[in-house]
Amino acid sequence: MLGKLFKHEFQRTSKVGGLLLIIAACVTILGAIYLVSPLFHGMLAPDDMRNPMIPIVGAILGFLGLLSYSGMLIGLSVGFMIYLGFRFYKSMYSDEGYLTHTLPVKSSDILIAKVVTGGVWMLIMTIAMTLMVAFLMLLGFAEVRGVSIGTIITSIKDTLEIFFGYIKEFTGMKLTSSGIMLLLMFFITPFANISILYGAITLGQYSWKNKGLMGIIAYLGIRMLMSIVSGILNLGMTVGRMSGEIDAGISLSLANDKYFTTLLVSVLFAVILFVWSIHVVRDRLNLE
Amino acid sequence: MYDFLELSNVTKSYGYNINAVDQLSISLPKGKIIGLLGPNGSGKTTLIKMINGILRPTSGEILLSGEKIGPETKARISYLPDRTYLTPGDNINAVLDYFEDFYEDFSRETAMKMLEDLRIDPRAKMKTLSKGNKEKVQLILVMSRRAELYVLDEPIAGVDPAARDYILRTILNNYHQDASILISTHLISDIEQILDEVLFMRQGKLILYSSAAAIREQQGKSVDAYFREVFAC
Repeated sequence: MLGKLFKHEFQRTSKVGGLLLIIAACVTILGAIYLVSPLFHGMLAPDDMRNPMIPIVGAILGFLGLLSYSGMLIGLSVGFMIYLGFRFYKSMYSDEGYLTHTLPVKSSDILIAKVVTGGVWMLIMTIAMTLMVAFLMLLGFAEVRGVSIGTIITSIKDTLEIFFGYIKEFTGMKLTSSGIMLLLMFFITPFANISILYGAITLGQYSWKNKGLMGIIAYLGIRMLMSIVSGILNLGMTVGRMSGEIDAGISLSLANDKYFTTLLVSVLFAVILFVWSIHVVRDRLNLE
Repeated sequence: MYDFLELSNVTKSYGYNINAVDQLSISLPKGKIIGLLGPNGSGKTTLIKMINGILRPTSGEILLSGEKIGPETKARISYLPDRTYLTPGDNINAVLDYFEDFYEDFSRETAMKMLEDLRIDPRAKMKTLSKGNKEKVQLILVMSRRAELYVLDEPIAGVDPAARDYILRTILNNYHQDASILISTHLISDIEQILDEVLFMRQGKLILYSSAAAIREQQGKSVDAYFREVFAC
């Protein structure tokens, strides 16, 4: 039954998720067309232009374009998360919940299907948008320098190797732990975020009235609480580091600590809210 | 040996003093069409929701063939709520796929036949259907299952008299003799002909459980007339 729940959950979210990805891809393609167009190249060649203001205007437009592009991607991502939250509320706690909760499946299976599907979609969005931004930036650099994207990638790789070499030389530390931590955050955070969002909406069910609104308030409250807990943990770890021997690698250690506490708090809250949601749906469900 | 549907001291409270269902105990048999009757606010819908696991009782226990309400009982109960629970953007074919996937006892063939009888296009989206047709589609989905218990909350409330006849025929033709049907309605005169037994509820309490024939015989009047007498304002 869990497989069927996954199938239908993906089907129902794919229209909006797919549409948002297509919009992002279309805007990225338009950006790429602009970067390889004579318009962009004209701005790169001020000597040939009669008006010296053109490169400045071009730089401003380029900056604004990049800002709008990033804003649009963030907006799409946040918009999709709001859509997932709205869909979760509708399918679980509004009239549609009458069908969801009379299916011959376990409450935990319903929630697993929803959290995993939502998490996978958010991960797909994050990966796709990261790739799109990276592609546009690489293309932009390549066009400015008049070289291929491959050359730019090789150049970035060489620069990073030199950078990591310096870090290792001066601090004696490798960046492997930071890399692993960032990678873990990249893959775990979408699932944790969805679990926290759905958990907050489920907490709203404790209210007698305005359950949807209470879910939103619960979400904001949980996020605030998470920030406070992360802040306290970070402070504790920073004080701990500072009271010990301070060496050149301390800033890296502090950054690693921050990644760790952020991830730990996210996972902790996500797990607690997920278990709590199962309890609410299984033992305390009260649809209006 | 268990009764088919057994409710023991079931109470559902809202707040401190409001009991929508109050200490209700009853055992219902197999193979009967049972009318769940009562005025507005008598607790009918609350009781139905608890039988289907949409609401949790504050206290007491509900058992279907000895099993507590859960995934196993939901596989055997076919429930028609008093509202539209289908996603407006879905077309009917997608809904049929959904039911076919989750309910082993669902017959797509039966559903398609009924849709054809009512001239409803299975490619139509739910949001394009009239209120009456939405209700008909939901009833078709519910009655296309070979369930052990059908729980129908106001199945004929939103449809025209001609469609009511079709719906009642559908209910009679599609349920099998081992199954039971629990119907909640205000339109007693329309369904009286098909009822075997009736439950009268008032303020969350069960005030009468009798066969429809016994009411007619003992009271010398129809169930509808007797209902009007008992619940006269």
